[in-house]
Amino acid sequence: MSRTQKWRLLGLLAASAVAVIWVVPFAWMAVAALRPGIPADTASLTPAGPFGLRNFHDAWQSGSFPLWYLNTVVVCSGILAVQLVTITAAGYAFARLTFPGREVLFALFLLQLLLVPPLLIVPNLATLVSLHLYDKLLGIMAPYFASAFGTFLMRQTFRTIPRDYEEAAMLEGATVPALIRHVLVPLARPGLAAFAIVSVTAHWNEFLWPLMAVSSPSSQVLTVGLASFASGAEAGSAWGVVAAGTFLVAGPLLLLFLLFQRRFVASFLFSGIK
Amino acid sequence: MEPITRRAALGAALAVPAAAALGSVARAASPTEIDLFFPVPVQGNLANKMRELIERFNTEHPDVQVTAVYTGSYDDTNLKTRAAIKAGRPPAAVIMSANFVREYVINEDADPFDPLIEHAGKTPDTFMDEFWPALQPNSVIGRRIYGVPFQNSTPLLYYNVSAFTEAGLDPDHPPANWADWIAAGKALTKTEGGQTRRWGLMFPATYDYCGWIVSGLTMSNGGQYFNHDYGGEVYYNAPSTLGTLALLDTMVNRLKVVPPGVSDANACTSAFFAGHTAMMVLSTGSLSFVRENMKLPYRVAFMPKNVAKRRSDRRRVADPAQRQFIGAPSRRLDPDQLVDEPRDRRRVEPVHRLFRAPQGGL
Repeated sequence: MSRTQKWRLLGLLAASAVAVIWVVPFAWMAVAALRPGIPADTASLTPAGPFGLRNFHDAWQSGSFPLWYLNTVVVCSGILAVQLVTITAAGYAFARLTFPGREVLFALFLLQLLLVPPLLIVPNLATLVSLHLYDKLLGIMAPYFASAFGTFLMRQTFRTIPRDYEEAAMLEGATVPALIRHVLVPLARPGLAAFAIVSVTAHWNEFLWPLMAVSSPSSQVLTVGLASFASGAEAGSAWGVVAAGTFLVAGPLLLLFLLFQRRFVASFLFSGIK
Repeated sequence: MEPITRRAALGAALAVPAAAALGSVARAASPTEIDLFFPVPVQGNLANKMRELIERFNTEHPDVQVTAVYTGSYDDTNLKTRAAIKAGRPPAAVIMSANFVREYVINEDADPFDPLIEHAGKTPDTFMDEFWPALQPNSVIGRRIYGVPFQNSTPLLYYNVSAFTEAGLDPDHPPANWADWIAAGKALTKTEGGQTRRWGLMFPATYDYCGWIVSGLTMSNGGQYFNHDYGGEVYYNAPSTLGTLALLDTMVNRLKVVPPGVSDANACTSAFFAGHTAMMVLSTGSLSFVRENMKLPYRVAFMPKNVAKRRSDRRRVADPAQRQFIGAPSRRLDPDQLVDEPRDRRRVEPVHRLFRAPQGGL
């Protein structure tokens, strides 16, 4: 075995070990979700049974999942749609336009990333109330319409694109909006895709802000709904039902990941997010 | 009766000025709209049950429209309530852990219930008399009522009947005092080749469980864990608290009948269901969950008390009612009976009146 082969094997082993560690919680969740009641060997990954779909039935009955799915999809896609516009525009401004104080402004923009979101709960809520957005789905989305991370990512992405393309388009008489739409955005698509994944995952999984911003049961999202039957503080958890409920919440994202796995990995490799 | 400590969810009337203002504006045309925040402290589809109750209230009271808002855990509920108050959208009422009520009172974010009670034609005293006396200290701060006892939970001793029989103990007579409790723990612990197969006792210590249970045991040791009349004073080094710690130290470190380290409530129930612990101390709020999931025969009892210590306490011997209390046999609780809470509140001795810390403070 040559030296490179040895390293390769070692790398493969290390990667497999990480993969096993990563997959254990998912595997346990799958096993637990399929076991009704509270079996004595509840921690087992390879139980004897019996198995059944009762937990999924119970979890589904515990809340209004169709409504929660709808609200979550509306929130995630609403945030993403606005973000894609704002981060493209802001990213372009920071990457290509020259104006006084550009670097300082960009640094200030990045400072936002250092703030812990819970710090802003009260001021954000006060703003929502004054804008009459409290207890509305739009209120959950509003604070995320501008994304410092997305702006940074798009700025970096735009800067990797050679200016030759833009100059060629400008010679043909393209305006700035046309330039962004027809030249930069198509070339920056992997960056946008990577950002979309991060954004959707983050807002799909978010718990605290939706809990704060919305009160009516009709505007509840998945995470808050799941917690309503999964987080009994004074009793043991019905693990099976909790696992089934978690599956219902995480399922769509997992499915998307499996379907578009190749593209996701390609986008991440391109954009350098790990 | 046993140490009834807080862990109650209390309804606190919050920032009534805002709600009242809303009421006077809206009354003419449409029903008054108010929010009720509630956590889900106990297992089960309580969120759905709460919604059913609120719907019933709304149909019976067309002039008030209550929105029941599920607000997560105890801490999330606290967080959401504070944020909503600061944002100018306070809920009319909140169900939350009694631990938090004093904080709202200090910050002047909560209004007392007294005017509402008087409006309903009762005096605060007659109103509080509707509740077990032991539940009252949670609700009253500075002689005003800031909470209504609701879903109060107390620590219970759950025990596995087959394990008792197997260890030669009488399941009809669960341990009633600390000495019996320690002996039972020893008899119930099963070790095999240096490994513990069955623990004598488990109790949770995550979140505020440890403080809650120590608080209960301190009461059953004749003392108080903290000053009920003056929030902020905790009796860490009082003999009654030190006695409780000595009990825990004995059971965990010396006799090893309780697993070391911090167990959470899930670990306790899982171990109890699997027969890996013969006794556990857990909330009354867990009773439904245990009833639904425990397949082995089990019963519940009051937390054992330290009778010897109590007799030696001079302050209490003066009270004739209390002598009766000490002499009363510890009764075995029937789990089924306890869930359908008996209406006769005479069953419960007014613990706080007997063992209350000296008056003073506020």
